[in-house]
Amino acid sequence: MTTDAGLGAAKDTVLVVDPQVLVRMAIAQYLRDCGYRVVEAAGAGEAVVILQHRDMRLDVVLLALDGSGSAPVFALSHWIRANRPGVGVILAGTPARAATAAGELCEQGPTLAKPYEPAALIERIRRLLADRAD
Amino acid sequence: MPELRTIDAAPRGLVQTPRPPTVLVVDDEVMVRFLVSEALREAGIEAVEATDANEALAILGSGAGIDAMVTDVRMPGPMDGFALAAAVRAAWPSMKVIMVSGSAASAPAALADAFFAKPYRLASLVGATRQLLGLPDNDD
Repeated sequence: MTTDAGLGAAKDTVLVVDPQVLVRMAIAQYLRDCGYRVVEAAGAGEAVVILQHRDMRLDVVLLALDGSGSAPVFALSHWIRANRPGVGVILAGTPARAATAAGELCEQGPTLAKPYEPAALIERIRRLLADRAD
Repeated sequence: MPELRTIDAAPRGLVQTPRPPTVLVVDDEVMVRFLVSEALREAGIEAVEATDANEALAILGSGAGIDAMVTDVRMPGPMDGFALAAAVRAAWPSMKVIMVSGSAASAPAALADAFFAKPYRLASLVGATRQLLGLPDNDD
């Protein structure tokens, strides 16, 4: 693949790290709808690959990892603070907390208003996960 | 150009925003997945991302309103890109499938509407995707 696409975008950029694809998709879409550029990572390994691209603009990392993998979460958080000190870190251990954090980011959002309330995002995630379980 | 339509982006009762066509990008290399997705977004196409076939099938099964899929051939897990394309063809026969690969020389026409061998130009991939979706060459 060849590209001229730059990594240092002008938009405020959020890295969303979540191993649950349907949660990650919903959170990422919500943040894009309120004007952020969003990078998605399925886990700490992918997140580090992204973070090691120092020419890639990253403003905030939203770590929406569940409690079962708390050691990697905290290790990644420490790694970010040590290696990308200008990047904010939000720890959100559950989909609901991640949705609330996304809503707060949209309150401070770069260009657009919140597309809808975080409670509605939480409900959407619940429905997605419930449909998958059926 | 196809009509804009509404997908299940928000719970019922909320105002829903018309969305452009949506493409599912499946690649286990996070930077490749991101760059392809961003190129599609910059071209006015919604892109959702999956790291492997399992994630792709979860998204497809969620009713996310996917119009086309761009998938790598070689991926970890029990299903590679060919197996994923076959599953998509069986379950969603109208969905356009674009395959990319650094190892395979081609893809069977029965599985893919377009094939790109790596390295490829992102602009070419985006152009082919727009064409398959019935979008004009550019939006200028």
